[in-house]
Amino acid sequence: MSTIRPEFSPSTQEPAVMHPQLLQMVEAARSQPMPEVAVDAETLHAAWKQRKRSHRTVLGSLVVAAAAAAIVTLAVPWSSSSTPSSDSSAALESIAVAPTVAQEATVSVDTTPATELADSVASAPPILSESITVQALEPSSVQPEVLGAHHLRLPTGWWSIDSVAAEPVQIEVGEQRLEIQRGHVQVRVAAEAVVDTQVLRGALVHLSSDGRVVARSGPSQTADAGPASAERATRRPARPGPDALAQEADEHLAAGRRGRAIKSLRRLVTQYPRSAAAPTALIDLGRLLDRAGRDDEARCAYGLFLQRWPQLSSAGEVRRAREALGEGSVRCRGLTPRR
Amino acid sequence: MARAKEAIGTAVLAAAQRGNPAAQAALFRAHKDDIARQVQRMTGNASVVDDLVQEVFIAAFSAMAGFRQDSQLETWLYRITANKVRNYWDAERRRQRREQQVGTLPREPVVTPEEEATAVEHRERLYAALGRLPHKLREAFTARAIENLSLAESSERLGVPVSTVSYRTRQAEARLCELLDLSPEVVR
Repeated sequence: MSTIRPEFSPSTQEPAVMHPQLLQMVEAARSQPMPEVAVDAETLHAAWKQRKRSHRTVLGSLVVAAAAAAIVTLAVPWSSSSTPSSDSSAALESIAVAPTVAQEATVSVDTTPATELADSVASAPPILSESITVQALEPSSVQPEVLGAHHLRLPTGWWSIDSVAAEPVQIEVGEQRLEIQRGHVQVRVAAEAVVDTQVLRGALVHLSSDGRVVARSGPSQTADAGPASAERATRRPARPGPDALAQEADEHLAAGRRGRAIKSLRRLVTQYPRSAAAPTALIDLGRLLDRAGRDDEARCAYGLFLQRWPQLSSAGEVRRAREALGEGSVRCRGLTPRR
Repeated sequence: MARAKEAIGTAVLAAAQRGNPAAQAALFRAHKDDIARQVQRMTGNASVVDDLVQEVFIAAFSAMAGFRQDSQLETWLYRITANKVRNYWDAERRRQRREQQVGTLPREPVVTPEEEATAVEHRERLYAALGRLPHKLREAFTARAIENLSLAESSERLGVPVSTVSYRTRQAEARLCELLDLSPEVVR
């Protein structure tokens, strides 16, 4: 006797939600008023053209960088066949070319990770956010792989990653995962493993494979931390610099001292308005004030960010945060609300 | 309206594929409200609608040359929207994880008018739980339950068989009931 197993065929009358309490929540979601779309066609077209131009710049720069890396690879063996006294200078000269070109290859604007597009869509390669700068600190024939707007895979080499994005930058090296939280970090990679890291600003978080935090490090103070930090490490400023104030705010926050964190960030933003740490500090200040219920001050902080850095990719997030607070009834003078 | 959209899409698609601003504007005006509604229902967050709508159309215009017209334009746009919303939920989860790492600072309570409190609370709880589902389960549940699409419509939009939509919707419901701590009543 044969057993015929019917194919699973759900009834077309099958309700979408069966649990009555869940259905009540779903009905609340369905009844949410539909938003007015403020985007207009002209702005959209301009943004699309800008994205196209930036994409071409990145692709062109990557081609140039790859060509330069190939030239370096060929030039070094060639120079070694000449007289001993000219060997090292020729080699140094060759190596000196690559970092400059590699720097140009770090420009990236489009935040559309095209690998996220549907299968039916012809996808462009993902492009790094414009608020993240990646540099090769020594020549490398392989470029970092961009996996998303805030997501990179690093090959062998010595890399500098500087991010002013509010969203952490995800870094993959072999099986290891790192996260750069609003900072500047140098990472040395060899044989698909991280062999050294230097945190120049912000924080570097080491993650386990399931995303849990394994270790966290702040700015390094060692003198051999790399070219960008050597000068900073030997300086003893009379008053805390922007990086020190940012670190101070992080420590207050980690200890639950919200009020003191707000004070440190206010000092940073007002005393060092042009510093690299200022944009991120202003976003963090707005968030802390928001969470503390100090809505007027939060509006002023967000407004100041949008006034100073409207072009950064985090401007969208800041705009949303300010809109979520509503209009308010005060004007702002810098960070200070005035009635 | 549907026939007008189709007529607009067919007539201007070739021009939009070439980057014609007027054609792109026509497509945008024809579909922006649908996309906005989908974004709102997928995220529950009105403040992200403008940015995500813009992102969807920029991605669509960039990839329009690859649209093979073997599916409806609405379906194609829906899939781009779903992918952009995935990025949104990924960023939300990372943000929540980051906030947990530095210690949870309690948010001051928000006061809502009494007559609206229940609906707002329901929505916030639902979307907080939806954000914790795997993308495929969340998308199936959103399409079926919140957007109120039929099994066939959901199947077409999501690009999976009807049985898969049904299965994922049921799985999503079970997980949501756990996350929301809903009593295991006898379902209807």
